[in-house]
Amino acid sequence: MFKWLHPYAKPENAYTLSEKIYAFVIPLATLCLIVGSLWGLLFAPTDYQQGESFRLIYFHVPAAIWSMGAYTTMGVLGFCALVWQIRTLELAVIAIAPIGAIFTILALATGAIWGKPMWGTWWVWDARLTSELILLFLYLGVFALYFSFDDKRTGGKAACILAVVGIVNVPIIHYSVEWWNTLHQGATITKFDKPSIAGDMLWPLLINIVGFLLLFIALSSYRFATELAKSEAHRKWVLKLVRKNLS
Amino acid sequence: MSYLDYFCLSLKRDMQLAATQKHEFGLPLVFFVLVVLLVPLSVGPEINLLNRIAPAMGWIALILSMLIALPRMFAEDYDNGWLELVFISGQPPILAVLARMISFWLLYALPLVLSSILLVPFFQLAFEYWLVLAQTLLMGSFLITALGSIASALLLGSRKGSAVMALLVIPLLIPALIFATSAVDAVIQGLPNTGPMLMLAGISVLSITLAPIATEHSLKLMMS
Repeated sequence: MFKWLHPYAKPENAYTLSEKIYAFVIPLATLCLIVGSLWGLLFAPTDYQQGESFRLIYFHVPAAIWSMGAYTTMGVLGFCALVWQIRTLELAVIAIAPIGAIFTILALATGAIWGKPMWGTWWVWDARLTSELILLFLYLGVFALYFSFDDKRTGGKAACILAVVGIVNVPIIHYSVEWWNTLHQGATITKFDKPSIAGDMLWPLLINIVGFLLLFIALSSYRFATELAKSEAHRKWVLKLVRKNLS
Repeated sequence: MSYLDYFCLSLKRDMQLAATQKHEFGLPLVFFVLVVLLVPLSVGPEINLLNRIAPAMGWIALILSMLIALPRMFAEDYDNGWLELVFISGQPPILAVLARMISFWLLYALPLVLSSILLVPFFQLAFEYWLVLAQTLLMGSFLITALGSIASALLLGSRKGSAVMALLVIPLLIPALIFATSAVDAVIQGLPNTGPMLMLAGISVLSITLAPIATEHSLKLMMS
């Protein structure tokens, strides 16, 4: 069933593919982000209660959603890398970790900026904020573990194991923190329910969510390609590539 | 040799080795007492406040002292080549890993849990509350040993030890900490605490079940 996938275990093919994905996705991501952000910041109606500062939602929610999505992706890829012993996937885990961490920081920062006028404080020990902070440390752990090895191959595998251990723990952490203390409002848009946000405000949000997803895909395939080339620097195809780019 | 024999032999070896280096096991205990000592000095000797934060301090002291001890779980066996022998012996390595985890728990974690009795005189924690706290610490110590075994196996070949160890272990411990403190708080407020206790027990059992597999895998990676 997955035979078509096999050629991409070869670094050279994976490199070409991720370059192609990057080239294809980055314009779409830019388009989505520009449209979504401009629409959200300039044209969406002002919230009757929160005023203009509600517009941070257009960055906060997408960043928060994909900070979690990136971790899931990382865990699944790590699991596949360990089970099928695919070296290229280990590099994908490493490629995703810093992007996920940046998304997490972005979500935390925009949340804090929004929280100051709305809740009157930069930070509260609320469930969602806390689990987002823990998520940041999970990312940092994966990253720190990778860099604490001289042998990058061992480091990559170790990072995969940690990502898998983390993914088992993520739901436990999420629910335990949820029961511990919660102030954050519930989800505004869910799949199964009618969204509790007006359509004019919802559309730019959805566009930005898609935009952040595309940005995530583009950045991680770019980083993945770079990691691949770095780890295969002694191989012929990388040399050829460098020569081609120089000339 | 049957699996049970092999397991018992590994456990016996660990305990006998430990008996030759008794001074090692005092250090985390001393560290535990030092952390407990820092608390009244930093927040002031007011007994009501100390009494209120005693369970939390017991947990924090346990986690920190375990973090001091954890890097030693496999380090020596790794350095002197014993682990390699375990992996080429033909016996399932997971049994030796499990034996090592149990011996580590007996030698480091159990004394720490018991020494939390110091909170009773120091912070005037009522004895029946301490009993509940000790139960949560007991279950938590299983969890810390299980997660710590993965982390200490992963960090065997690395250069920087304890700081990364904290980064790996502490985020994964947070659920246990939450359930444990809410279990103790419930008892102090006269409420039933079955819920958080069962959750804590469930997390511990889950981690004890899965951690040896992950640890074995990590060790195998470090051997190769």
